[in-house]
Amino acid sequence: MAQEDIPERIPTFEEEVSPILKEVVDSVIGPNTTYNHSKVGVWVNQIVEGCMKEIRALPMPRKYIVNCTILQQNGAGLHAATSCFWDNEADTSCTCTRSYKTLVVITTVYGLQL
Amino acid sequence: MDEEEQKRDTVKIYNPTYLMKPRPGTKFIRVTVEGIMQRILEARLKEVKYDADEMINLSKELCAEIQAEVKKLGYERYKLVTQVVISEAKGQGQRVASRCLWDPEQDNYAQATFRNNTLICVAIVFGCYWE
Repeated sequence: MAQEDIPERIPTFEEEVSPILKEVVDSVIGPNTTYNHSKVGVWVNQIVEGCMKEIRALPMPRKYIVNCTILQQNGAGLHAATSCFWDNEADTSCTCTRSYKTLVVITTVYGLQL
Repeated sequence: MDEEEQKRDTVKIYNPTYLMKPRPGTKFIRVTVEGIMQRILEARLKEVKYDADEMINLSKELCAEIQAEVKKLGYERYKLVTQVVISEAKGQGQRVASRCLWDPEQDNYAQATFRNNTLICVAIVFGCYWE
């Protein structure tokens, strides 16, 4: 008797999206990359487009916003805050921070249910 | 006093309208929102010096203030996401970028930047129509 594989637990937004973000950032910016002013624009676009491509394939239909900040590490401080006016049960966000020797990458994905 | 507490505790639930477009006059207009954001940033950050402890609260307060002002404009069916990034101006390079998967005719975003001698502030508001 053929049985469909029904997952015991539906993965949360964070569980689905977090590994995607890590993978994309690692593939674009490896541990040996040095901050380069002329290339940042390209990196940021690659990260954001790579994330969007993977996230679009997720099963639940949502509107997505992917935001990426790349900051050069020279001892300066950074604070980021988000405020959201939405439905707490339907909409979520997920943030991933990766720091390397010369730069820091902060990627955030917001998922808004239709 | 009890009535006021009750008013604060009630949660508004919005039912879907199933209208594909926002009603005329209630569409998210980028220019208006950008003007408000720029005004708030300039008023709040003009004389401020970057201080690691104070910035924690300041970034949250700015976020809440921008959100409250945009809500006052009356975008009834819009979900708003406000993001504020404050960094110290020490000569480092920085890049902030976003990509969105949404309906470009209904949804939009607004951004504002502010610089002074010690800090750089980038604020973004995304508005997504919810039917």
